[in-house]
Amino acid sequence: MELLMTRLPDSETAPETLEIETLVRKTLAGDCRAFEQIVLQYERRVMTLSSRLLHGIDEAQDATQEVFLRAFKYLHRLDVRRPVEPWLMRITVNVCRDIQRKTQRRHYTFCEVPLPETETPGRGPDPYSGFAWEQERQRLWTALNALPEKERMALILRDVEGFSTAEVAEILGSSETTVRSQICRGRLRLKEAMDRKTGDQS
Amino acid sequence: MNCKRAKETLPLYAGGDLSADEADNVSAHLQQCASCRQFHESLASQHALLRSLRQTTATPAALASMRQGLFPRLATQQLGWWVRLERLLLVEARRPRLAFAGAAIAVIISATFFAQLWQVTANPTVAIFEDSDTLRLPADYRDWIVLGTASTLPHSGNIFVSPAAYQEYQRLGRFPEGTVMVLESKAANMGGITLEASVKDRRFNEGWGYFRFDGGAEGPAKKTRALPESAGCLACHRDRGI
Repeated sequence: MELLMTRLPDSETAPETLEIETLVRKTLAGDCRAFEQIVLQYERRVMTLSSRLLHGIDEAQDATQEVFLRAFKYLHRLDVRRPVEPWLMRITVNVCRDIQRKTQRRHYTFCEVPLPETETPGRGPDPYSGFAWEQERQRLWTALNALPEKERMALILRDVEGFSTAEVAEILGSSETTVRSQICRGRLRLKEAMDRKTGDQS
Repeated sequence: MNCKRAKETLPLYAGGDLSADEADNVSAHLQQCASCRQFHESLASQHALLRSLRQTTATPAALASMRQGLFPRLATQQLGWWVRLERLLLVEARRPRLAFAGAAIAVIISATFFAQLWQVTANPTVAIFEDSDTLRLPADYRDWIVLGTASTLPHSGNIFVSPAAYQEYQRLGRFPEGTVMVLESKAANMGGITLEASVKDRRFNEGWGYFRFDGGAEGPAKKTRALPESAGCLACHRDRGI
């Protein structure tokens, strides 16, 4: 159980001190600059999720732009008393679904899916560094992308992004029970896929 | 807990998605069962590996290039009129004074609506049936419009029709469904007033039903059943179309 003892990933840094409510009010009053502040606060989160849900940096960039354009358009629907992130994540999921539908692209089932082009924050040593780990991560990512779409989305949001089941349900617009069973099935299927591949290699 | 049940819940257990009670049950089983323990360990390390993916995020370069495309589009984005209207309604409604005004208008509109509804229910202009064929006598028929005077036997007397039904007749050339016509006649043999009514209702043969409110000591009956077809009303009325 060595793995579980290692350092837990850093949770997202707390939202910057800038009061989101003020920024929203300013934007609604017609101040575009205020919305740019909101973009700066959440762009990383949105783009990271987009790049996990889609393939390729170009698609992720397009998706992120579209997410913020939609958020800007429908900002008045945001309830500022509740956290902004799930709301943005919900838009992100919808935008990514739209893009997938448009490109009619199914996920690569049989070939390797490259991990999204990302960076690892340089805080201390990454416990998962090293070639073997990198390979293992790559295998897992490929297997994850071969899952049925709903299970893939639920797992990305719950396990990779780290949202609670309730938040995932809200983001996906479905019920908690459904999400729970998708997560359960997804994890099991993922394990089977990983076991199978290990079996192939040995 | 048996192994089958444990294997079903282990994926949730590995991610910390079970309630405390459920998790205790699974832990107890894991203590005893080596095979499930192995199953769990593999799930747990898979979970940790999944979580490790969280540490990688979008690169600053990619973000910067996204922003370069986004900011000019934000500045020039035109909002559709429906978005602006929705925004106006939603944002303005959050201001107390406007919310109060809105509530006041809503109260006035609904009060007017209910007053009208009450008026209509109290003085109906269409036929009110108590069961399938028992007609209630319209209490205010004497306030209605006098359509004419009947002089053809067996009727004689004034014919009343509700203003609403009459207006629709003038507009469209036909009486609306539910129209009641009341004939008030002095029947010589009864000494009192006898009321008769015809009702436009498609449930009756050829679309009209006929009724007689017989007079008694306290005036005409308040309700009555439809006259049977054997009463022969239809034979004469058919020629007149009502």
